[in-house]
Amino acid sequence: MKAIFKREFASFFRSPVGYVFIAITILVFYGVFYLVNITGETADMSTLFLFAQMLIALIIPLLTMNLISNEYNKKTDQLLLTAPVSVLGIVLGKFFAALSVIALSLAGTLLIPVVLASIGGFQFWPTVGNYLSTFFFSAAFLAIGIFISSLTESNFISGILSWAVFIGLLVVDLMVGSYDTPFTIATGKWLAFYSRFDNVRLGIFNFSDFLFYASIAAIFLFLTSRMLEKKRYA
Amino acid sequence: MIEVRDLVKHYGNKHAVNGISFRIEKGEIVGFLGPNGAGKSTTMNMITGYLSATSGTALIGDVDILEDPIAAKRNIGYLPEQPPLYVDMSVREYLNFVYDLKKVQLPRKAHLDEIFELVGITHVADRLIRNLSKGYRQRVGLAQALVGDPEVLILDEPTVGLDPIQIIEIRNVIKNLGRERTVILSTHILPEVQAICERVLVINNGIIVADGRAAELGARVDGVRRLNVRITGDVKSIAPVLRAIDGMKSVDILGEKESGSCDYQLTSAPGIDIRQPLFHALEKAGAAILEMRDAGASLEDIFVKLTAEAETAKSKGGRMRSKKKEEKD
Repeated sequence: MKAIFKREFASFFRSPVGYVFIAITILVFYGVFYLVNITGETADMSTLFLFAQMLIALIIPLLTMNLISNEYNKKTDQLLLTAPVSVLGIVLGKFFAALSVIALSLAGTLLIPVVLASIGGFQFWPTVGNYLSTFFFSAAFLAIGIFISSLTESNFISGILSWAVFIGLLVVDLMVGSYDTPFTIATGKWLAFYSRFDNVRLGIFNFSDFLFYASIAAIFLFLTSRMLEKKRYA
Repeated sequence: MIEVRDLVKHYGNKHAVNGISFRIEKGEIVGFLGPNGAGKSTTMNMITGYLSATSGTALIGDVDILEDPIAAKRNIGYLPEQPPLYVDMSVREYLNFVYDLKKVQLPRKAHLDEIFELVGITHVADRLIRNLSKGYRQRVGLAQALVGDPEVLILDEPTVGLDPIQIIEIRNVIKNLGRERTVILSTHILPEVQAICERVLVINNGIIVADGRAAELGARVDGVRRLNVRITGDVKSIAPVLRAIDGMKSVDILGEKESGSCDYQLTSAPGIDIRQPLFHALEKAGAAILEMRDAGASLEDIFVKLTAEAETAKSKGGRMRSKKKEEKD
Protein backbone atom coordinates (compact mmCIF):
# COMPACT_ATOMS: atom_id res chain seq x y z
CA MET A 1 0.00 0.00 0.00
CA LYS A 2 2.81 2.40 0.88
CA ALA A 3 4.60 1.81 -2.42
CA ILE A 4 1.41 2.41 -4.37
CA PHE A 5 0.59 5.50 -2.37
CA LYS A 6 4.05 6.92 -3.04
CA ARG A 7 3.96 6.18 -6.75
CA GLU A 8 0.44 7.43 -7.24
CA PHE A 9 0.98 10.62 -5.28
CA ALA A 10 4.16 11.40 -7.23
CA SER A 11 2.43 10.64 -10.50
CA PHE A 12 -0.17 13.34 -9.85
CA PHE A 13 2.70 15.78 -10.01
CA ARG A 14 4.46 14.20 -12.97
CA SER A 15 1.50 15.25 -15.07
CA PRO A 16 -0.28 18.59 -14.78
CA VAL A 17 -3.26 16.96 -13.02
CA GLY A 18 -2.11 17.54 -9.46
CA TYR A 19 -1.11 21.14 -10.12
CA VAL A 20 -4.29 21.89 -12.03
CA PHE A 21 -6.45 20.46 -9.26
CA ILE A 22 -4.71 22.44 -6.57
CA ALA A 23 -4.68 25.60 -8.68
CA ILE A 24 -8.41 25.45 -9.44
CA THR A 25 -9.31 24.79 -5.81
CA ILE A 26 -7.18 27.62 -4.53
CA LEU A 27 -8.34 30.04 -7.23
CA VAL A 28 -12.00 29.34 -6.56
CA PHE A 29 -11.57 29.53 -2.79
CA TYR A 30 -9.79 32.84 -2.91
CA GLY A 31 -12.11 34.13 -5.64
CA VAL A 32 -15.23 33.39 -3.60
CA PHE A 33 -13.49 34.65 -0.51
CA TYR A 34 -12.86 37.94 -2.25
CA LEU A 35 -16.38 38.25 -3.62
CA VAL A 36 -18.24 37.13 -0.52
CA ASN A 37 -16.07 37.99 2.44
CA ILE A 38 -14.02 40.95 1.33
CA THR A 39 -16.60 42.74 -0.78
CA GLY A 40 -19.46 41.60 1.43
CA GLU A 41 -17.50 42.47 4.58
CA THR A 42 -18.34 39.33 6.50
CA ALA A 43 -16.26 36.76 8.37
CA ASP A 44 -18.82 34.01 7.76
CA MET A 45 -17.26 31.20 5.69
CA SER A 46 -20.40 29.13 5.14
CA THR A 47 -21.09 30.45 1.62
CA LEU A 48 -17.51 29.83 0.72
CA PHE A 49 -17.77 26.17 1.67
CA LEU A 50 -21.05 25.76 -0.16
CA PHE A 51 -19.25 26.69 -3.37
CA ALA A 52 -16.16 24.75 -2.40
CA GLN A 53 -17.97 21.45 -2.00
CA MET A 54 -19.72 21.72 -5.34
CA LEU A 55 -16.48 22.70 -7.00
CA ILE A 56 -14.60 19.79 -5.50
CA ALA A 57 -17.27 17.38 -6.66
CA LEU A 58 -16.85 18.74 -10.17
CA ILE A 59 -13.09 18.44 -10.32
CA ILE A 60 -12.61 15.18 -8.43
CA PRO A 61 -12.98 13.19 -11.68
CA LEU A 62 -9.70 14.82 -12.73
CA LEU A 63 -8.01 12.85 -9.99
CA THR A 64 -9.95 9.62 -10.24
CA MET A 65 -10.63 9.03 -13.90
CA ASN A 66 -7.20 7.58 -14.57
CA LEU A 67 -6.62 5.89 -11.27
CA ILE A 68 -7.67 2.38 -12.20
CA SER A 69 -8.82 2.48 -15.80
CA ASN A 70 -5.31 3.44 -16.82
CA GLU A 71 -3.94 0.36 -15.10
CA TYR A 72 -6.25 -1.79 -17.19
CA ASN A 73 -5.47 0.15 -20.30
CA LYS A 74 -1.69 -0.03 -19.94
CA LYS A 75 -1.85 -3.55 -18.49
CA THR A 76 0.05 -2.39 -15.45
CA ASP A 77 -2.61 -4.03 -13.33
CA GLN A 78 -0.73 -7.23 -14.15
CA LEU A 79 2.20 -5.93 -12.15
CA LEU A 80 0.07 -4.87 -9.19
CA LEU A 81 -2.10 -7.96 -9.07
CA THR A 82 0.83 -10.37 -9.33
CA ALA A 83 2.79 -8.53 -6.63
CA PRO A 84 2.63 -9.70 -3.03
CA VAL A 85 0.10 -7.07 -1.99
CA SER A 86 -3.58 -7.30 -1.20
CA VAL A 87 -6.12 -5.89 -3.61
CA LEU A 88 -7.54 -3.67 -0.90
CA GLY A 89 -4.03 -2.37 -0.24
CA ILE A 90 -3.78 -1.33 -3.88
CA VAL A 91 -7.11 0.49 -3.75
CA LEU A 92 -6.33 2.20 -0.45
CA GLY A 93 -2.92 3.32 -1.70
CA LYS A 94 -4.55 5.03 -4.63
CA PHE A 95 -7.34 6.48 -2.52
CA PHE A 96 -5.03 8.03 0.02
CA ALA A 97 -2.77 9.42 -2.69
CA ALA A 98 -5.70 11.26 -4.25
CA LEU A 99 -6.98 12.30 -0.83
CA SER A 100 -3.57 13.78 -0.07
CA VAL A 101 -3.80 15.96 -3.16
CA ILE A 102 -7.14 17.24 -1.90
CA ALA A 103 -5.70 17.79 1.57
CA LEU A 104 -2.86 19.75 -0.01
CA SER A 105 -5.24 21.99 -1.91
CA LEU A 106 -7.33 22.57 1.20
CA ALA A 107 -4.15 23.40 3.09
CA GLY A 108 -3.45 25.99 0.41
CA THR A 109 -6.62 27.82 1.40
CA LEU A 110 -5.77 28.10 5.09
CA LEU A 111 -4.67 31.66 4.58
CA ILE A 112 -8.35 32.59 4.37
CA PRO A 113 -9.24 31.78 7.99
CA VAL A 114 -5.99 33.39 9.09
CA VAL A 115 -6.95 36.60 7.33
CA LEU A 116 -10.48 36.42 8.68
CA ALA A 117 -9.24 35.82 12.20
CA SER A 118 -7.08 38.91 11.99
CA ILE A 119 -10.05 40.98 10.84
CA GLY A 120 -12.29 39.82 13.67
CA GLY A 121 -15.66 38.18 14.02
CA PHE A 122 -14.12 34.88 12.99
CA GLN A 123 -15.50 31.65 14.42
CA PHE A 124 -12.90 29.01 15.01
CA TRP A 125 -14.83 25.77 15.58
CA PRO A 126 -17.36 26.16 12.74
CA THR A 127 -14.40 26.71 10.38
CA VAL A 128 -12.71 23.55 11.62
CA GLY A 129 -16.04 21.77 11.10
CA ASN A 130 -16.28 23.09 7.59
CA TYR A 131 -12.79 22.00 6.65
CA LEU A 132 -13.39 18.58 8.14
CA SER A 133 -16.71 18.25 6.39
CA THR A 134 -15.20 19.21 3.04
CA PHE A 135 -12.49 16.65 3.59
CA PHE A 136 -14.96 13.86 4.39
CA PHE A 137 -17.20 14.92 1.56
CA SER A 138 -14.21 14.72 -0.81
CA ALA A 139 -13.28 11.30 0.51
CA ALA A 140 -16.75 9.96 -0.30
CA PHE A 141 -16.73 11.40 -3.81
CA LEU A 142 -13.20 10.16 -4.38
CA ALA A 143 -14.20 6.65 -3.45
CA ILE A 144 -17.14 6.79 -5.86
CA GLY A 145 -14.84 8.14 -8.57
CA ILE A 146 -12.30 5.38 -7.99
CA PHE A 147 -15.04 2.80 -8.13
CA ILE A 148 -16.25 4.17 -11.46
CA SER A 149 -12.67 4.16 -12.71
CA SER A 150 -12.49 0.46 -11.91
CA LEU A 151 -15.44 -0.25 -14.17
CA THR A 152 -13.85 0.67 -17.46
CA GLU A 153 -10.60 0.62 -19.39
CA SER A 154 -11.29 4.04 -20.83
CA ASN A 155 -10.36 7.02 -18.70
CA PHE A 156 -12.66 9.14 -20.85
CA ILE A 157 -15.71 7.06 -20.04
CA SER A 158 -14.63 6.88 -16.44
CA GLY A 159 -14.33 10.67 -16.23
CA ILE A 160 -17.63 11.41 -17.96
CA LEU A 161 -19.47 8.82 -15.93
CA SER A 162 -18.14 10.25 -12.69
CA TRP A 163 -19.26 13.72 -13.72
CA ALA A 164 -22.68 12.39 -14.61
CA VAL A 165 -23.02 10.69 -11.23
CA PHE A 166 -21.81 13.69 -9.24
CA ILE A 167 -24.05 16.11 -11.12
CA GLY A 168 -26.91 13.62 -10.85
CA LEU A 169 -26.45 13.61 -7.08
CA LEU A 170 -26.55 17.39 -7.08
CA VAL A 171 -29.80 17.32 -9.05
CA VAL A 172 -31.28 14.86 -6.57
CA ASP A 173 -30.19 17.15 -3.81
CA LEU A 174 -31.86 20.20 -5.35
CA MET A 175 -35.03 18.19 -6.00
CA VAL A 176 -35.23 17.19 -2.37
CA GLY A 177 -35.12 20.85 -1.49
CA SER A 178 -37.79 21.82 -4.03
CA TYR A 179 -40.39 19.04 -3.85
CA ASP A 180 -41.70 17.99 -0.52
CA THR A 181 -43.41 14.81 -1.65
CA PRO A 182 -43.05 11.83 0.68
CA PHE A 183 -41.12 9.97 -2.01
CA THR A 184 -38.44 12.59 -2.54
CA ILE A 185 -38.06 13.03 1.17
CA ALA A 186 -37.72 9.33 1.82
CA THR A 187 -35.27 8.51 -0.96
CA GLY A 188 -33.73 11.89 -1.49
CA LYS A 189 -32.74 12.58 2.10
CA TRP A 190 -30.53 9.59 2.02
CA LEU A 191 -29.04 10.58 -1.29
CA ALA A 192 -28.57 14.18 -0.26
CA PHE A 193 -24.81 14.19 -0.59
CA TYR A 194 -24.51 17.93 -0.84
CA SER A 195 -27.05 19.31 1.58
CA ARG A 196 -26.07 16.86 4.28
CA PHE A 197 -23.47 19.30 5.42
CA ASP A 198 -25.82 22.23 5.68
CA ASN A 199 -25.87 21.64 9.41
CA VAL A 200 -22.13 21.76 9.71
CA ARG A 201 -22.00 24.83 7.58
CA LEU A 202 -24.39 26.51 9.92
CA GLY A 203 -22.29 25.45 12.86
CA ILE A 204 -24.14 22.35 14.04
CA PHE A 205 -21.66 19.57 14.36
CA ASN A 206 -23.41 16.27 13.74
CA PHE A 207 -21.33 13.15 14.07
CA SER A 208 -23.70 11.00 12.01
CA ASP A 209 -23.14 13.21 8.97
CA PHE A 210 -19.45 12.49 9.08
CA LEU A 211 -20.17 8.84 9.59
CA PHE A 212 -22.35 8.90 6.49
CA TYR A 213 -19.51 10.11 4.28
CA ALA A 214 -17.00 7.79 5.86
CA SER A 215 -19.32 4.86 5.24
CA ILE A 216 -19.87 5.84 1.63
CA ALA A 217 -16.11 5.99 1.15
CA ALA A 218 -15.60 2.63 2.83
CA ILE A 219 -18.36 0.95 0.82
CA PHE A 220 -17.08 2.17 -2.53
CA LEU A 221 -13.47 1.37 -1.75
CA PHE A 222 -14.55 -2.11 -0.82
CA LEU A 223 -16.59 -2.39 -4.03
CA THR A 224 -13.58 -1.23 -6.01
CA SER A 225 -11.45 -3.98 -4.53
CA ARG A 226 -14.19 -6.45 -5.43
CA MET A 227 -14.15 -5.16 -9.01
CA LEU A 228 -10.41 -5.72 -9.23
CA GLU A 229 -10.85 -9.14 -7.72
CA LYS A 230 -13.68 -9.91 -10.09
CA LYS A 231 -11.48 -9.19 -13.06
CA ARG A 232 -9.53 -12.29 -12.15
CA TYR A 233 -12.67 -14.33 -12.62
CA ALA A 234 -13.52 -12.83 -16.00
CA MET B 1 9.67 -25.50 -8.26
CA ILE B 2 6.35 -25.11 -9.99
CA GLU B 3 3.68 -27.71 -9.96
CA VAL B 4 0.49 -27.32 -11.93
CA ARG B 5 -2.35 -29.76 -11.48
CA ASP B 6 -5.33 -30.00 -13.78
CA LEU B 7 -5.51 -26.33 -14.45
CA VAL B 8 -8.71 -25.35 -16.22
CA LYS B 9 -9.92 -21.96 -17.36
CA HIS B 10 -13.26 -21.37 -18.99
CA TYR B 11 -14.41 -18.05 -20.34
CA GLY B 12 -18.14 -18.57 -20.46
CA ASN B 13 -18.39 -21.68 -22.58
CA LYS B 14 -14.99 -21.14 -24.16
CA HIS B 15 -12.34 -23.48 -22.84
CA ALA B 16 -9.12 -21.48 -22.92
CA VAL B 17 -7.18 -23.96 -20.81
CA ASN B 18 -8.46 -27.45 -20.53
CA GLY B 19 -6.70 -29.42 -17.83
CA ILE B 20 -2.99 -28.77 -17.87
CA SER B 21 -0.59 -30.53 -15.50
CA PHE B 22 3.16 -30.35 -15.25
CA ARG B 23 5.98 -30.03 -12.78
CA ILE B 24 9.12 -28.00 -13.23
CA GLU B 25 12.10 -28.44 -10.94
CA LYS B 26 14.58 -25.88 -9.77
CA GLY B 27 17.30 -25.28 -12.33
CA GLU B 28 15.07 -26.13 -15.25
CA ILE B 29 14.28 -23.79 -18.11
CA VAL B 30 11.11 -24.87 -19.79
CA GLY B 31 9.83 -23.57 -23.08
CA PHE B 32 6.14 -23.11 -23.40
CA LEU B 33 5.40 -23.46 -27.05
CA GLY B 34 2.19 -23.04 -28.95
CA PRO B 35 0.40 -21.03 -31.59
CA ASN B 36 -1.40 -17.80 -30.78
CA GLY B 37 -4.48 -18.48 -28.75
CA ALA B 38 -3.25 -21.85 -27.55
CA GLY B 39 -3.62 -20.90 -23.89
CA LYS B 40 -0.02 -20.01 -23.08
CA SER B 41 -0.67 -16.57 -21.64
CA THR B 42 -3.80 -17.72 -19.86
CA THR B 43 -1.86 -20.51 -18.17
CA MET B 44 0.89 -18.12 -17.15
CA ASN B 45 -1.64 -15.66 -15.84
CA MET B 46 -3.14 -18.36 -13.68
CA ILE B 47 0.21 -19.53 -12.33
CA THR B 48 1.05 -15.96 -11.34
CA GLY B 49 -2.32 -15.40 -9.72
CA TYR B 50 -3.44 -12.72 -12.14
CA LEU B 51 -6.33 -14.86 -13.29
CA SER B 52 -8.25 -17.30 -11.22
CA ALA B 53 -8.53 -20.87 -12.38
CA THR B 54 -11.91 -22.43 -13.03
CA SER B 55 -10.47 -25.51 -11.37
CA GLY B 56 -7.09 -27.00 -10.57
CA THR B 57 -4.15 -25.67 -8.59
CA ALA B 58 -0.73 -24.21 -9.08
CA LEU B 59 2.02 -24.56 -6.49
CA ILE B 60 4.91 -22.14 -6.37
CA GLY B 61 7.56 -23.76 -4.21
CA ASP B 62 5.31 -25.37 -1.62
CA VAL B 63 2.73 -22.63 -1.61
CA ASP B 64 -0.61 -22.85 -3.34
CA ILE B 65 -1.28 -19.68 -5.32
CA LEU B 66 -4.97 -19.91 -4.48
CA GLU B 67 -4.58 -20.60 -0.78
CA ASP B 68 -1.86 -18.11 0.05
CA PRO B 69 -1.52 -15.82 -2.95
CA ILE B 70 0.63 -13.21 -1.24
CA ALA B 71 3.25 -15.69 -0.06
CA ALA B 72 3.26 -17.43 -3.43
CA LYS B 73 3.58 -14.19 -5.37
CA ARG B 74 6.62 -13.22 -3.33
CA ASN B 75 8.55 -15.97 -5.10
CA ILE B 76 7.44 -15.14 -8.62
CA GLY B 77 8.94 -12.77 -11.12
CA TYR B 78 6.55 -12.26 -13.98
CA LEU B 79 7.07 -10.61 -17.32
CA PRO B 80 3.67 -10.50 -19.01
CA GLU B 81 3.18 -10.38 -22.75
CA GLN B 82 3.03 -6.61 -22.59
CA PRO B 83 5.57 -5.31 -20.06
CA PRO B 84 3.64 -3.57 -17.26
CA LEU B 85 5.49 -0.26 -17.36
CA TYR B 86 4.53 3.13 -16.00
CA VAL B 87 5.78 5.25 -18.85
CA ASP B 88 5.70 8.47 -16.87
CA MET B 89 8.48 7.21 -14.60
CA SER B 90 12.18 6.91 -15.22
CA VAL B 91 13.65 3.42 -15.29
CA ARG B 92 15.22 3.95 -11.89
CA GLU B 93 12.04 5.29 -10.33
CA TYR B 94 10.07 2.44 -11.80
CA LEU B 95 12.35 -0.29 -10.50
CA ASN B 96 12.48 1.39 -7.10
CA PHE B 97 8.71 1.29 -7.11
CA VAL B 98 8.72 -2.41 -7.97
CA TYR B 99 11.25 -2.95 -5.21
CA ASP B 100 8.90 -1.29 -2.72
CA LEU B 101 5.86 -3.02 -4.14
CA LYS B 102 7.40 -6.45 -3.74
CA LYS B 103 8.68 -5.55 -0.27
CA VAL B 104 12.16 -6.74 -1.15
CA GLN B 105 14.61 -7.17 1.72
CA LEU B 106 17.85 -7.13 -0.26
CA PRO B 107 20.11 -4.04 -0.11
CA ARG B 108 18.30 -1.68 -2.46
CA LYS B 109 21.02 0.06 -4.36
CA ALA B 110 23.31 -2.92 -4.87
CA HIS B 111 20.44 -5.16 -5.91
CA LEU B 112 18.99 -2.73 -8.43
CA ASP B 113 22.40 -1.83 -9.85
CA GLU B 114 23.08 -5.50 -10.36
CA ILE B 115 19.84 -5.87 -12.30
CA PHE B 116 20.54 -2.76 -14.39
CA GLU B 117 23.87 -4.29 -15.29
CA LEU B 118 22.46 -7.75 -15.98
CA VAL B 119 19.86 -6.68 -18.52
CA GLY B 120 21.97 -3.85 -19.89
CA ILE B 121 19.95 -0.80 -18.96
CA THR B 122 22.46 1.03 -16.79
CA HIS B 123 22.96 3.80 -19.34
CA VAL B 124 19.22 4.47 -19.69
CA ALA B 125 18.46 4.24 -15.97
CA ASP B 126 17.56 7.90 -15.64
CA ARG B 127 15.52 8.20 -18.81
CA LEU B 128 11.77 8.22 -18.85
CA ILE B 129 10.35 4.88 -19.91
CA ARG B 130 8.11 6.79 -22.31
CA ASN B 131 11.20 7.69 -24.35
CA LEU B 132 12.65 4.20 -24.58
CA SER B 133 12.54 2.00 -27.65
CA LYS B 134 10.55 -1.21 -27.64
CA GLY B 135 13.67 -3.30 -27.05
CA TYR B 136 14.65 -1.30 -24.00
CA ARG B 137 11.12 -1.38 -22.65
CA GLN B 138 11.23 -5.14 -22.96
CA ARG B 139 14.47 -5.17 -20.99
CA VAL B 140 12.98 -2.97 -18.30
CA GLY B 141 10.08 -5.42 -18.18
CA LEU B 142 12.53 -8.25 -17.65
CA ALA B 143 14.36 -6.21 -15.02
CA GLN B 144 11.08 -5.76 -13.20
CA ALA B 145 10.60 -9.52 -13.06
CA LEU B 146 14.08 -9.95 -11.58
CA VAL B 147 13.56 -7.51 -8.71
CA GLY B 148 13.61 -9.37 -5.43
CA ASP B 149 15.56 -12.27 -6.92
CA PRO B 150 12.52 -14.57 -7.15
CA GLU B 151 12.93 -18.33 -7.32
CA VAL B 152 10.44 -18.68 -10.12
CA LEU B 153 10.58 -16.67 -13.32
CA ILE B 154 7.66 -16.63 -15.70
CA LEU B 155 8.45 -14.87 -18.93
CA ASP B 156 5.85 -14.40 -21.63
CA GLU B 157 7.68 -13.94 -24.91
CA PRO B 158 10.73 -12.28 -23.35
CA THR B 159 12.62 -11.48 -26.54
CA VAL B 160 9.82 -9.86 -28.51
CA GLY B 161 10.86 -6.55 -30.00
CA LEU B 162 14.58 -7.01 -29.46
CA ASP B 163 17.14 -6.83 -32.23
CA PRO B 164 19.20 -9.95 -33.03
CA ILE B 165 22.13 -8.96 -30.85
CA GLN B 166 19.89 -8.08 -27.94
CA ILE B 167 18.08 -11.38 -28.40
CA ILE B 168 21.31 -13.29 -27.95
CA GLU B 169 22.22 -11.21 -24.90
CA ILE B 170 18.86 -11.68 -23.25
CA ARG B 171 18.84 -15.39 -24.00
CA ASN B 172 22.19 -15.68 -22.27
CA VAL B 173 20.86 -13.74 -19.31
CA ILE B 174 17.90 -16.10 -19.06
CA LYS B 175 20.12 -19.15 -19.41
CA ASN B 176 22.33 -17.94 -16.57
CA LEU B 177 19.37 -17.11 -14.41
CA GLY B 178 17.89 -20.52 -15.09
CA ARG B 179 20.76 -22.35 -13.41
CA GLU B 180 19.48 -21.63 -9.95
CA ARG B 181 15.87 -20.88 -10.60
CA THR B 182 12.78 -22.29 -12.15
CA VAL B 183 12.04 -20.62 -15.45
CA ILE B 184 9.09 -20.91 -17.78
CA LEU B 185 9.22 -18.92 -20.95
CA SER B 186 6.63 -18.87 -23.62
CA THR B 187 7.32 -18.21 -27.22
CA HIS B 188 6.23 -19.11 -30.66
CA ILE B 189 9.73 -18.59 -31.97
CA LEU B 190 11.01 -22.13 -32.29
CA PRO B 191 14.75 -21.46 -32.49
CA GLU B 192 14.39 -19.63 -29.21
CA VAL B 193 13.27 -22.77 -27.47
CA GLN B 194 16.05 -24.69 -29.11
CA ALA B 195 18.55 -22.09 -27.96
CA ILE B 196 17.49 -21.75 -24.32
CA CYS B 197 15.34 -24.60 -23.11
CA GLU B 198 16.18 -28.12 -22.13
CA ARG B 199 12.57 -29.05 -21.92
CA VAL B 200 9.61 -28.13 -24.06
CA LEU B 201 5.91 -28.14 -23.31
CA VAL B 202 3.87 -27.92 -26.46
CA ILE B 203 0.40 -26.58 -25.86
CA ASN B 204 -2.48 -26.26 -28.25
CA ASN B 205 -6.17 -25.60 -27.74
CA GLY B 206 -5.64 -25.52 -24.00
CA ILE B 207 -4.05 -28.92 -23.60
CA ILE B 208 -0.47 -30.13 -23.50
CA VAL B 209 0.19 -32.08 -26.65
CA ALA B 210 3.81 -32.89 -25.89
CA ASP B 211 6.21 -32.67 -22.97
CA GLY B 212 9.83 -33.62 -23.19
CA ARG B 213 13.34 -32.74 -24.22
CA ALA B 214 13.54 -31.09 -27.59
CA ALA B 215 15.54 -34.05 -28.93
CA GLU B 216 13.20 -36.69 -27.49
CA LEU B 217 10.26 -34.88 -28.94
CA GLY B 218 11.82 -35.13 -32.36
CA ALA B 219 12.12 -38.88 -32.06
CA ARG B 220 8.60 -39.18 -30.78
CA VAL B 221 7.25 -37.39 -33.78
CA ASP B 222 8.53 -39.41 -36.66
CA GLY B 223 11.26 -41.77 -35.53
CA VAL B 224 12.88 -41.25 -38.87
CA ARG B 225 16.26 -39.71 -39.21
CA ARG B 226 17.34 -37.20 -41.77
CA LEU B 227 20.91 -36.79 -42.88
CA ASN B 228 22.33 -34.10 -45.09
CA VAL B 229 25.28 -35.57 -46.96
CA ARG B 230 27.71 -34.21 -49.52
CA ILE B 231 29.08 -36.95 -51.72
CA THR B 232 31.64 -36.80 -54.55
CA GLY B 233 30.77 -38.12 -57.97
CA ASP B 234 27.99 -37.93 -60.48
CA VAL B 235 24.37 -37.85 -59.29
CA LYS B 236 23.33 -40.44 -61.87
CA SER B 237 25.73 -43.05 -60.54
CA ILE B 238 25.47 -42.21 -56.84
CA ALA B 239 21.72 -41.87 -56.41
CA PRO B 240 20.95 -45.52 -57.29
CA VAL B 241 23.62 -46.65 -54.84
CA LEU B 242 22.00 -44.61 -52.10
CA ARG B 243 18.53 -45.89 -52.91
CA ALA B 244 19.80 -49.47 -52.74
CA ILE B 245 20.86 -49.14 -49.11
CA ASP B 246 18.77 -51.16 -46.66
CA GLY B 247 16.46 -49.01 -44.58
CA MET B 248 16.62 -46.02 -46.90
CA LYS B 249 13.25 -44.41 -47.14
CA SER B 250 13.89 -41.59 -49.54
CA VAL B 251 16.69 -39.74 -51.24
CA ASP B 252 16.25 -36.09 -52.06
CA ILE B 253 18.78 -34.49 -54.34
CA LEU B 254 19.64 -31.04 -53.12
CA GLY B 255 21.95 -30.17 -56.00
CA GLU B 256 25.59 -29.31 -56.52
CA LYS B 257 26.91 -27.00 -53.85
CA GLU B 258 30.58 -27.76 -54.29
CA SER B 259 32.03 -28.62 -57.70
CA GLY B 260 32.48 -32.33 -58.27
CA SER B 261 30.00 -33.32 -55.61
CA CYS B 262 26.33 -33.30 -54.88
CA ASP B 263 24.24 -32.77 -51.72
CA TYR B 264 21.53 -35.22 -50.74
CA GLN B 265 19.02 -35.40 -47.99
CA LEU B 266 18.57 -38.97 -46.90
CA THR B 267 15.63 -40.14 -44.86
CA SER B 268 15.88 -43.48 -43.16
CA ALA B 269 13.09 -45.78 -42.09
CA PRO B 270 12.10 -45.59 -38.43
CA GLY B 271 14.57 -47.12 -36.01
CA ILE B 272 17.36 -47.78 -38.50
CA ASP B 273 20.76 -46.13 -38.41
CA ILE B 274 21.97 -45.97 -41.99
CA ARG B 275 25.23 -44.17 -41.41
CA GLN B 276 27.47 -47.22 -41.43
CA PRO B 277 25.80 -48.95 -44.41
CA LEU B 278 25.96 -45.62 -46.18
CA PHE B 279 29.70 -45.40 -45.62
CA HIS B 280 30.36 -48.92 -46.83
CA ALA B 281 28.11 -48.63 -49.87
CA LEU B 282 29.80 -45.44 -50.98
CA GLU B 283 33.23 -46.86 -50.37
CA LYS B 284 32.33 -49.76 -52.65
CA ALA B 285 31.10 -47.34 -55.29
CA GLY B 286 34.32 -45.39 -55.04
CA ALA B 287 32.71 -42.20 -53.80
CA ALA B 288 33.69 -40.18 -50.75
CA ILE B 289 31.60 -38.44 -48.11
CA LEU B 290 32.75 -34.85 -47.83
CA GLU B 291 30.24 -33.80 -45.26
CA MET B 292 27.52 -35.45 -43.23
CA ARG B 293 25.24 -33.83 -40.73
CA ASP B 294 22.13 -34.80 -38.85
CA ALA B 295 19.23 -32.79 -40.17
CA GLY B 296 17.08 -34.13 -37.34
CA ALA B 297 13.47 -33.26 -37.16
CA SER B 298 13.32 -29.54 -36.70
CA LEU B 299 11.15 -28.18 -33.97
CA GLU B 300 9.02 -26.66 -36.72
CA ASP B 301 8.23 -30.11 -38.02
CA ILE B 302 7.55 -31.39 -34.55
CA PHE B 303 5.32 -28.53 -33.81
CA VAL B 304 3.24 -28.71 -36.94
CA LYS B 305 2.95 -32.45 -36.60
CA LEU B 306 2.02 -32.46 -32.92
CA THR B 307 -0.61 -29.81 -33.21
CA ALA B 308 -2.04 -31.49 -36.28
CA GLU B 309 -2.10 -34.82 -34.42
CA ALA B 310 -3.98 -33.29 -31.55
CA GLU B 311 -6.50 -31.77 -33.94
CA THR B 312 -7.23 -35.02 -35.71
CA ALA B 313 -7.44 -36.92 -32.44
CA LYS B 314 -10.00 -34.46 -31.26
CA SER B 315 -12.08 -34.47 -34.44
CA LYS B 316 -12.07 -38.26 -34.42
CA GLY B 317 -13.45 -38.14 -30.92
CA GLY B 318 -16.29 -36.04 -32.30
CA ARG B 319 -15.44 -33.23 -29.94
CA MET B 320 -14.01 -30.87 -32.47
CA ARG B 321 -14.78 -27.33 -31.67
CA SER B 322 -15.78 -25.09 -34.49
CA LYS B 323 -13.08 -22.52 -33.98
CA LYS B 324 -9.86 -22.06 -32.19
CA LYS B 325 -10.44 -19.97 -29.17
CA GLU B 326 -9.00 -16.57 -29.00
CA GLU B 327 -6.93 -16.25 -25.93
CA LYS B 328 -8.10 -13.62 -23.58
CA ASP B 329 -5.49 -10.86 -23.07
